[in-house]
Amino acid sequence: MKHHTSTAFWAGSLVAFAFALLICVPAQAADTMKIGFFAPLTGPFAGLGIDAKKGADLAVSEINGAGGINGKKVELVSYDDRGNRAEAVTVVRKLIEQDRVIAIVNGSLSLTSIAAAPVVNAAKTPMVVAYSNAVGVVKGHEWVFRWASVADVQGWVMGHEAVKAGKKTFALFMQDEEYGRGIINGAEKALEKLGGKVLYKKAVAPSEREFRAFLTEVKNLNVDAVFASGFGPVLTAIGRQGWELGVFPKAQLYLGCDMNEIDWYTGIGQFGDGTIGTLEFLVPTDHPFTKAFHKRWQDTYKTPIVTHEAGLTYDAARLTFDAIKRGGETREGVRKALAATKSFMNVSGINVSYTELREPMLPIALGRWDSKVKDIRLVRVVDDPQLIDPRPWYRYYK
Amino acid sequence: MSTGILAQQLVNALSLGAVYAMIAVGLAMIYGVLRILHIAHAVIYAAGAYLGLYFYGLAGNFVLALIGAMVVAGILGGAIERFVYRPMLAKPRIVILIASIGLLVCMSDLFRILAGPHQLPFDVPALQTRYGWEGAQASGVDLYIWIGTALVFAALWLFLQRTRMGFAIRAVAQDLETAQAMGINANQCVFAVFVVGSAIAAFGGVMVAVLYNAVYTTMGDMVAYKGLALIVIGGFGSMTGAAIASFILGITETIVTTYTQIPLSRDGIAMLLLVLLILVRPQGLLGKS
Repeated sequence: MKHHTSTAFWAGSLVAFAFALLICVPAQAADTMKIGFFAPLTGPFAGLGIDAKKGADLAVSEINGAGGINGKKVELVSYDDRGNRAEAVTVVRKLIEQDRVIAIVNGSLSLTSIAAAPVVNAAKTPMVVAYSNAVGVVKGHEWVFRWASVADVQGWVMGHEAVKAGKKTFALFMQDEEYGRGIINGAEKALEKLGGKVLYKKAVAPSEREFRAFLTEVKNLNVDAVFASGFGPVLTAIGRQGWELGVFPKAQLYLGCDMNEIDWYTGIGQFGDGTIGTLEFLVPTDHPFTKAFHKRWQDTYKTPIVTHEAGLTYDAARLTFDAIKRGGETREGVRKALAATKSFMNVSGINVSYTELREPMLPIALGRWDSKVKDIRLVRVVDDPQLIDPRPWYRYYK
Repeated sequence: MSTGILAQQLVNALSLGAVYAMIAVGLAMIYGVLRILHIAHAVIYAAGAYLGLYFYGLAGNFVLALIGAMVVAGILGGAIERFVYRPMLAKPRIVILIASIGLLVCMSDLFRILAGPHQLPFDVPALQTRYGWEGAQASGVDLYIWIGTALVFAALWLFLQRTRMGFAIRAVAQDLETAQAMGINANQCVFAVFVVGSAIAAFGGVMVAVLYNAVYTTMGDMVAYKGLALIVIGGFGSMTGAAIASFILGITETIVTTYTQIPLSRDGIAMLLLVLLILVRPQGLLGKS
């Protein structure tokens, strides 16, 4: 009897607790609209996700400061995917089914985005991927759009620029995952076409920090230029160790877009002078839009550095808001508006349009590191459609 | 291959081997006295790097920062032994292993919370001077690593061979119960081993952080596995064996990753080599079959 009473007591308590939880969940107010966001906010990739969230938060505060969208304030519902595939699927399902967001701004990595994309696609929820460059994230998923470039495009531009600068012999460092492989694939195709000679190629893990043995070999080969793909820590280690060994600046170092990560800014100093990066945007430029953005950024976050993840997520969030304005507050409306995007101005003040593959024709900003100003200076913007078109690269990814 | 290139690769490999030795020797000491796999030793190494950076920021003097990091890391290692492992010693060894893994994960997160998620630079301009020899170059950091490693090992040898505590530790390592029966305070010995081993790991952490100009939350992850493998290769608790295994690994890793096209990462190749060595000589380099 006592046992039954106790069971009933606990069951009753559980129901009451569940009910209390339910009434605590805030209902979506009629004057707000929910936009989803996920990124690695803890774990080994937290630095990237936290930067991405800063970009999204600034875009939300700006749109809400300007009165919201169609009179409604934007509520950013954020989750931490911990840089983990399974967690990314879980949080995306939450955003779609529980929070019922209109669209998702993805501030996460390629590996998590590839896991989340089929879920988003099956649930017919539009998602704008801010900075993951892997083709597999977008390819085959009609509801997924990318704001960043396809990785191969960066390598393709890199190869053309180097050959144009008179470089003939090359060493390649490839971070061995989809993003790093993409950049080096683009670079190799460009060098093949233009007659550049690859004398050295090494695949490295994203966790690698020891490059001295490899760079000793590169020094011995006396190459004209070194191409490196990878995340910020890898690029910074290559740049610094190569300079210390005397490889750079004798050989010109070219890097992918992750040169624009915090690790480079804080870790390279004078050891990176003259290094050229193929970037997806650059701040500051002389464009009034960029200048105004940069001031707001510095006022908000007390730093002049706008990393790759922050700038692209800022743009991805703005693009999502713009699509809601144009397409209405339904998921289908947003998808159609995203697909029809023409001439959307990015943070560098450059107008960008979408291809039919839901990939942007994103001009590449060539930037050169200058330790005197502790920043990347704009060399020029590459907007030749032959160089920045993402479409030809799809054939390399089944 | 020219002499200059060979000499340069030797410089690279010696520094790598010395750093591995710093991790492996402390682990071998701990395994020697307690027969436990102290995976959390890797976070002491990472903590050493963070502490070194912190003290360098405060004092602006690298030697003081290095000593400060070793002292605090030693205390931290001692605390882990006293408050985490000692209460569990009566339990099966798997319990201690799980606790150690838990510490590894939690402390990596703690570093992120305290120091932020981004990689931090550890730039010591005074150590950037480069010294040339036969076409090869060594930096001030390399010299610090080599000389520091030699001094640390010499001090460790003197401590273990010439002091009463060292004698007691060796007795405990041979047979803990008999040593206790003969009146040796085993708890004190084990505590001392953790303090000394952790201080040496912190030395390794600080030097790696300066060598690569990077302090980051996951810097101990691969070290945890490599360290364990090195004590197995060295011969289960043999400090000399662990040190020799570390230098062999540093040299082999440099040669294999640089001059072969095996499609594996440096760490993948290292672990493969270690598995092969264990297969060929299961008792380790200096272990008895």
